[in-house]
Amino acid sequence: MSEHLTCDVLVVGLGPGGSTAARFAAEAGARVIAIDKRAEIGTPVQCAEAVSEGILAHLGLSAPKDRWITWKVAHVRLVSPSNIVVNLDDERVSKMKFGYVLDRKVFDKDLATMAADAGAELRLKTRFVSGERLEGGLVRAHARHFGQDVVIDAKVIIAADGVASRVGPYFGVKTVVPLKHMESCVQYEMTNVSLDGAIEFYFGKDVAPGGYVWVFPKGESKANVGIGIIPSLTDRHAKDYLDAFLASDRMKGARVVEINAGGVPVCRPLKETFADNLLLVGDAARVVNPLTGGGIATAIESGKYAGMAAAKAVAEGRTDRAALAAYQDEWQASFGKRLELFYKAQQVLTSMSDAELDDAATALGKCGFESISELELLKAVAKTNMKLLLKFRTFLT
Amino acid sequence: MNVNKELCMLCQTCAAVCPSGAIEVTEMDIILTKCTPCGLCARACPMGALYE
Repeated sequence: MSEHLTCDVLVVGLGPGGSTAARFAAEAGARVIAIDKRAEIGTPVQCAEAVSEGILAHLGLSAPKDRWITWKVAHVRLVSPSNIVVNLDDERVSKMKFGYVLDRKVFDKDLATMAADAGAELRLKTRFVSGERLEGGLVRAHARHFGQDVVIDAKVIIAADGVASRVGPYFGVKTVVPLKHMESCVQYEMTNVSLDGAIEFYFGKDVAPGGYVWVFPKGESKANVGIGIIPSLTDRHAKDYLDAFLASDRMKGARVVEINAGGVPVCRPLKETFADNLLLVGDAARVVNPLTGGGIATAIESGKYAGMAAAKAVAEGRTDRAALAAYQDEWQASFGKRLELFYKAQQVLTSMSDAELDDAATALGKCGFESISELELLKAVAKTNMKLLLKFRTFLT
Repeated sequence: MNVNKELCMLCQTCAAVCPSGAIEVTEMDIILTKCTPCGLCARACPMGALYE
């Protein structure tokens, strides 16, 4: 038996990007179907769950819902390979802004619920299998739902299916991530962790080659303790490094209550995040901050633009690539330049020796900051590191 | 390539780096097909679940 559905906009994947795209497309009047292979949105978590305040603006909210927030952060700690500790808190930073450690299980589900409330039809436990173009400017997705075939015809497909996008390739968009641009991650949610409210980052080639270990508080003694490494720099696996960190004094007495794993594309965005009848958002589009690996904010913002662009294209009766190109202009104008800078910074960071990381930490320990942002930190490090300074002179003036 | 399903977290990192599109990760299984094998998936896997 098979089911045959039609809609204006089909969204594949209900992470933050897909849910936001589905919501904004539905709010703009499009008939939206959104599918996800999981039975429950928000689980399993594939992320460290930290965001800055800025994402709320794009969700059209003035304050975050209390139930999304597990911890409000106003203290960042960086730890260099030789244990030089840099504390960035309100004594050192004049205009400190809050960051949040989210509960993604609650947050993601709320965003999906907001899409459903806006009129999008959510179909869970529905896995995208393949796609094809039809005559007359339509696209077709073949999916599976509880052992049955589901055929969905749409005018626009929004690929929000994450780092290993299966939708893109069916419509001519190559989405393979080179190994040197893949951040391989494992995370333990832990309890009985000794915490003082700071979010912590640990650097060094023996700690996390090409990346860092993070400790993000989620309560008085609860934290996400995770790692991202670049696998082309080592023969060992992310879990080996994280387990080594767990054996250190820092984690003494801490106990694991959950395990997550995942990959983050730390590369430039796809050259083209659109094609005929297709838009890609979030990790599927590689719109991720390559320096931190953070992708929630960019997924939400790209999802919003994609949902609106898709609905507009449908309303105007043209869904070819020329009609959808404005989507890319929009996210480029908003955060394209920033991602390029962070990409370059990530390239330098992965090439820095432990001694250079120590020097950078020493430099950061001496200066004051107006606010905590990747840009401010880069500027401070660049003042002491010739490699960085040369690379960034065009950005940092 | 082979996969030790007892180590696999179904996180799809392997599928994202596979140049042949030979790995499908569903909500409950990992399926390897038409493999060359180039070994990139084994290196990308956070858990060390893939092997030649």
